[in-house]
Amino acid sequence: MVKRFNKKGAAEEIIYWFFYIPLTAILIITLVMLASSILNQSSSTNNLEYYIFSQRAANAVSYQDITNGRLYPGIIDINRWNEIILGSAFDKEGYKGIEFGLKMTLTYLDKSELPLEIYYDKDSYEVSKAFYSTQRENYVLVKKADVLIPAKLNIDLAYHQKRYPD
Amino acid sequence: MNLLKNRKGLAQALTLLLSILLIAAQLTVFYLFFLNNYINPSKFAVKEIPQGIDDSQFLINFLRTPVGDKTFSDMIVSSYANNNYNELKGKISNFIILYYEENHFWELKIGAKSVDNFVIIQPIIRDKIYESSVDLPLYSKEAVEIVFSIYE
Repeated sequence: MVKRFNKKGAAEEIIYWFFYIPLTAILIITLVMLASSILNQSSSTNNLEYYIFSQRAANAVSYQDITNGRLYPGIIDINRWNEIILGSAFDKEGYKGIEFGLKMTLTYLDKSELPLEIYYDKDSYEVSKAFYSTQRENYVLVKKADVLIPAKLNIDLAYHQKRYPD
Repeated sequence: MNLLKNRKGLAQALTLLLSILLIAAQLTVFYLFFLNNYINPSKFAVKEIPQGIDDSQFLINFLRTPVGDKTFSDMIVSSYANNNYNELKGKISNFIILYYEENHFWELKIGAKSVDNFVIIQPIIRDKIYESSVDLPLYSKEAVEIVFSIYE
């Protein structure tokens, strides 16, 4: 009688642990996944860094009033449209690990001229464009002397190492 | 009854399973209805920041765009003052075709007024691809909100 009772108890224990261990594991995994997803969401910047780089590039060639120093984002100064000024906007040595290249294309809406292209770190751009890139298209006005000409500014920023989730 | 008594372990395990499912359900409800409201706006905001900046810049440049000897902002203010939008409508349509290289439906709300190139209900079934707003000063020195929308 005692022997039979022990067998039954052991079976009960086995059934209990058979459910208990996997379900506990599922619960713990669920909690960890939930917590990590929350943490990832709050810390993800969604490539905002590369947007800021492209914004910096656009600002570098934007018109600046020399009288008061005011910058006019969205108005491109054709006299500043060159790779020397574009390059001066970036600290290439400070970007170790986040190397990128950038191509800017200016297209006049009236097609009066061929599209104008300038690069920041063309070699990096050519290598990285096969990996990852972010594109922006902005409506801009090009300041030529005192005339504002409507145009599209395309900024194509390429990088080879993905640092942030999409 | 005997069956249940003999399977105490199974009953305990089923109770445990039920309690865990209850906890999971509670967590899900908590996440969906409470936590989600606090977490997702930040994710949403980070994604929307660049788009918001670009949209605002588009509208400001649109208002600065020369049209003859004026700009679109001058034309909007004078049209609003004279309550005559025919010229403005034609110029905006030309601009949209020039920029997108094809026709798009658009709507410009100037305070309570609205100018558009809608054809009956077509904009309702099309996706909005752009919308931004800004306050524009009038001749009376009061500001009026303009909302510019473009549809697919």
